Amino acid sequence: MAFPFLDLSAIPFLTILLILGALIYWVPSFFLVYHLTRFGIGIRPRIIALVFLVGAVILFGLLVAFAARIDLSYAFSRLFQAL
Amino acid sequence: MKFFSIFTNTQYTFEGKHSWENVVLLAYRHWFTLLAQGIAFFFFAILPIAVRLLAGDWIAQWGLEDLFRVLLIAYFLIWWYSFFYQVAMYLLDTWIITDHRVIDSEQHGFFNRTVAELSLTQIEDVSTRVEGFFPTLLNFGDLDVQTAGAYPKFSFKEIPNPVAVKDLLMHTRNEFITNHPGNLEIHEPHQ
Repeated sequence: MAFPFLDLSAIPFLTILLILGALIYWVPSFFLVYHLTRFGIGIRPRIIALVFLVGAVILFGLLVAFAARIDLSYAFSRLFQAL
Repeated sequence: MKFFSIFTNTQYTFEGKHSWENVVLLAYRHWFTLLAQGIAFFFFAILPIAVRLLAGDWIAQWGLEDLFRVLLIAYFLIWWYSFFYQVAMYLLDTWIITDHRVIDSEQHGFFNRTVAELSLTQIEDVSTRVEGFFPTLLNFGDLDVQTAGAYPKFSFKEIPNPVAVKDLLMHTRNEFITNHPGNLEIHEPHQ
């Protein structure tokens, strides 16, 4: 059945997925950094929080950059041929 | 800069620390208790390499390198978080001996934290327990503090060198009793 008012190709699925992923990832990450800086005693927990945050930002940046460049057209064409 | 001083300047402060109180000892669990988890995390870190070696040809054949790269980074994001979560739980389980009291602070997940404290005068008896091959070899174990009256027993779990901690605790307690005759606390008023 066709949906005349809904153009599925216009929905940015990847962007929505990334935003949802970002929310799911960064909320607990915030709690982690918050707990380490608030309840941690001494310098060590704060340095650990900083290392975690820097690593998470770098990894998330890489994820967004690579996800934006993803091209599955060849895989889909081969899949359709196989079917 | 003042903001960055949190990474360099600390007096082992914690929530509820009195201005006249000094930290004598801050104890974490022995590092060995993290080792089993460390080995598991190492295994999970090299797992994608094994997947790439085993399924590399298939991935290239189907033109899925881009997707594999994205999934690999997503996997390492979760790995990174899980690893630091374990480290955080380790760092937030602490036992503090100050020159006035003993504080047991345990974190069982983000929203489950227990903090208990005990005045040094309530300490009746202290015992240590080192059980097992690795605890004996690496010298770590539990330290139990029996308290006066109906107070529950205090336990320092899997701490390094429990006998030395026991001696330090008894010494601190004796010093407190000597310096506070009649259990009276007298301080200069705050400026």
